[in-house]
Amino acid sequence: MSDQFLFPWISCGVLIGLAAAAIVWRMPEAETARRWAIGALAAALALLLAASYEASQVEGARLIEPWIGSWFTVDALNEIPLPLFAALALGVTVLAPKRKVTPHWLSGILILTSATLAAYAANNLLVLTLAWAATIAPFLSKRFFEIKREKETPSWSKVVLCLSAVCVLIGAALLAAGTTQSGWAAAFSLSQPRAGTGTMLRCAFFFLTVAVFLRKGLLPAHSWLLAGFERGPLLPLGLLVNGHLGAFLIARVALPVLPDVAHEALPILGDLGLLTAAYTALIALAERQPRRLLALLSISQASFILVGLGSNNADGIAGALVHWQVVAVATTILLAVFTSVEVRLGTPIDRQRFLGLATSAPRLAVFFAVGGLALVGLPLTLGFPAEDLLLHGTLTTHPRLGVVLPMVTALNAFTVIRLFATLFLGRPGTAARGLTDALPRERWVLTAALLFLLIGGIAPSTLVRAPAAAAERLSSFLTAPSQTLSLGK
Amino acid sequence: MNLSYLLCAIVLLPGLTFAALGLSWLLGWQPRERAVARLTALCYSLAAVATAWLWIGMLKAGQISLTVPLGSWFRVEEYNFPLMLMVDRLSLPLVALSVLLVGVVGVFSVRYLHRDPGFHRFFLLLNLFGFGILLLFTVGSFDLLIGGWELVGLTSVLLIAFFQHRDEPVKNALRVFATYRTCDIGLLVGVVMMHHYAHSTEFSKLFTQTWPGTGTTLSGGSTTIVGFLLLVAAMGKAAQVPFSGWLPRAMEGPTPSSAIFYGALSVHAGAYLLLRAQPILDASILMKEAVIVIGLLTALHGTFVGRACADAKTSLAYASMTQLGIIFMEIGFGLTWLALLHICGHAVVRTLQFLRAPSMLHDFHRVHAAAGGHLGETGAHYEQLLPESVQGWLYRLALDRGHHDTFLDRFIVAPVIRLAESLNRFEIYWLEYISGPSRTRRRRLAAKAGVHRFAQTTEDVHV
Repeated sequence: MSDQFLFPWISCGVLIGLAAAAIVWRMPEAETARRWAIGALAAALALLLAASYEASQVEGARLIEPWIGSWFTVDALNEIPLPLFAALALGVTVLAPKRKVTPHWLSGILILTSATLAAYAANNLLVLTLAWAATIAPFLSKRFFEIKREKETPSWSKVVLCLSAVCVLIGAALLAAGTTQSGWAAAFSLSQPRAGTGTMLRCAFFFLTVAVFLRKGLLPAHSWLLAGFERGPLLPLGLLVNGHLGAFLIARVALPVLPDVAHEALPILGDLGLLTAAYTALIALAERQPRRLLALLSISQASFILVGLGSNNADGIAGALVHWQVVAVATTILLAVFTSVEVRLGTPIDRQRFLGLATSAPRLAVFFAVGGLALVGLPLTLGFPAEDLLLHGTLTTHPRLGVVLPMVTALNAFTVIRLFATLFLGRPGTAARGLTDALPRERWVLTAALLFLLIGGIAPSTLVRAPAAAAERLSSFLTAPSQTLSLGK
Repeated sequence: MNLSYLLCAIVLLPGLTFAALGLSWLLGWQPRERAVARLTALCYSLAAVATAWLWIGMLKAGQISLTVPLGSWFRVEEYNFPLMLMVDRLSLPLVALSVLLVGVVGVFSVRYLHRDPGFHRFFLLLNLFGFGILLLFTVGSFDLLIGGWELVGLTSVLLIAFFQHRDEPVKNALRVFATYRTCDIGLLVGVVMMHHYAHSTEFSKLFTQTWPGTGTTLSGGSTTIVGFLLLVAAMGKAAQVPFSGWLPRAMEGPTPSSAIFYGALSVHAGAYLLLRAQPILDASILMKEAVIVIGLLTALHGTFVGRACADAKTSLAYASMTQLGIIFMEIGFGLTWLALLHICGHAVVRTLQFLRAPSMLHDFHRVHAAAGGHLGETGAHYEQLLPESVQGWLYRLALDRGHHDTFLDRFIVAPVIRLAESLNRFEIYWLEYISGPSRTRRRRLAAKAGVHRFAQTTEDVHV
């Protein structure tokens, strides 16, 4: 059984993205830049699909890239997220309203995509840390996503993102320092579990957890996401959040590399995730501003991923990994439709009454409704198996806490329907009349996204297979944490 | 023909019709009214033939139940989600009833909604409902039952908001959705509890005999816990006290949807759930008594409030509620066959009444004409035996629908919303503290400042 890819798919995918970012940056015309960006992202998607396909053929093993120093790897954990994120980035680039797209904006999306893909595929902690930091770089500079008279990323959000990167850096350094074996490769290896619960490892775990805590926007650090969604560039921020690098850090580093510490501490992170989900779902009941509602919905549903990871059993972890896919696709649909509507109306939507947009834009209404309901576990969508697994996993381990999960889902479902009703139902106002429905490019991309959720819901076994395999492997670290486990095979 | 294929076809036909209509519209093709009507008619005609064939086939073979295992939907370690269809003496009559009534309502709606802007939407949702209700009645496990259950609830809510140009139907739809989702928590947690206690949710593993047998593999306190959770879910769907406030609000939808949902099928889904879980209820005296008491209270509430209703559809809704209360009592007393017959009879009669409701005045005049003059006055009720002050008080109580909604609003909804508002207010202040006022608030402040400047200028002029 070969443990190397036939071709460096991922390196090529990442490099194409970065090269396109550099080329697009200098282009004078937005439309040409857009075509280049779409071409580059489509090529990256094709390469990552090839990598995932090759990895899926070698069951139970991880494949490492040839030629370039074994930087990147693909296994059951990142087999789906890699092409999924590339597809999301491609979708966002196609769906982004032309009015908002500039060459610099596209360049930012390409950097964010390449960095996230590199983080997903990282085979060592150093690459993962650098890629994590690179994902936030476009949000720190004013030149990427800030368009004249448009919203800008709030400084508070920038501060929190930077802090999370610093915490990952410190955590990685402590982890390297706590390794007993010598050499750079062993120090930053992600294939070598660090047994025991020594002070250094506990500190490393602490800093990594704080990074996750900040990046995922867990209570009380959720304000940066609220501020970002309310005042920042919605689509790029959505893409950043939907990378779910916080959850990935837990699944890739905290669980397998620090199994003993994780066994003790992860349930606490899971409880914190549940608390955040419940709190944000509750305050969403009183919120009327659509952007803030979208932020609260996104935080609440994304927190379920941590609840599943903290459940310490394969069902819950698999549920979390499937839910990751659902949240990423469904939230992107919601944000894309909302941005389209906001751009069409020409003003930020902060109305407290029904807008009645379904009359003139019924397709956008359907995309929004199905995407939103998939997010909260509508049957016939991928959200349903994800919710089932999460619920089953959590209730098995924590029966009392697990009961909160369906309550939070119920609250979030109500928020989705309320937001849908506010935007699309009711008597159409003056602004809503004559609003353009989904354009062909929007229609095709959003239909493809809906089909992913629907086909995944009708026949989920294909999309559940890889997360289930990853979950079984991760749960084995928690059931027998101290044993020396080879992550390579 | 293999009976298993027939059962799969019955469930899949409405689902495929929905998928074909929905996907084509989403991609930009709008089929004509006639095409939609014919496709729907074809779907339910085929389903009716398949149902008849299935029933006859089962009778000929002497089968009292048919189980179709379709493999595992997905699997993680030892947890397996079984995909299984099943019909037995409980579900087969309900499947036949569903196919028949959804088909009839579909035919009726072609003319009723002719040239309505929501024609296409209505038929899409009707087909999705058809799929959901058939799935609900034909699944072989509680896991999969959730799927049908939630689809029925969702289509119900979307059809209540059918006349989306008015705010009231939308608000009422939100209210109904909130009630449904609250009660559905019972079903979700109940199913997980079944996994916890019995390690399965398949009917064949949970119940030791085929319906209406009484044996269950659950025992002791677990029957009370699971029974209670299922009862909460059933109460929501069947509009039982205290979750009954949504039913009159649901009358905002078009008449055909009111007929099929609140006269015929959707409201009976709760009763079906209890009938299906009858062995669990039988094992717990407490739960049986609870079902009887809830049914009795609902029947009394329905008949009492229904007397003060001024419009036809709401009166019919309360009449349905009364009958549902009686069905719950029958289930509580263990009269399962009677309950099943009651469901079928009630669904047919109520559908007819709902569908005739728009032409009630016409019918009224026709009855007068047939009687050769005005009919005798009615209104001599037992209430007249009560003192006048009590009559007035009872009338007000009935008009406010037993103060149910008022009570729920004041003591449950309002405190939760107040808490949410306080927390949200704190969030906004905190956010403004760390990153300045929001764009909206800046605009409001600017607008206020503008008004203030204008006022100053006017004052200056006056001076």
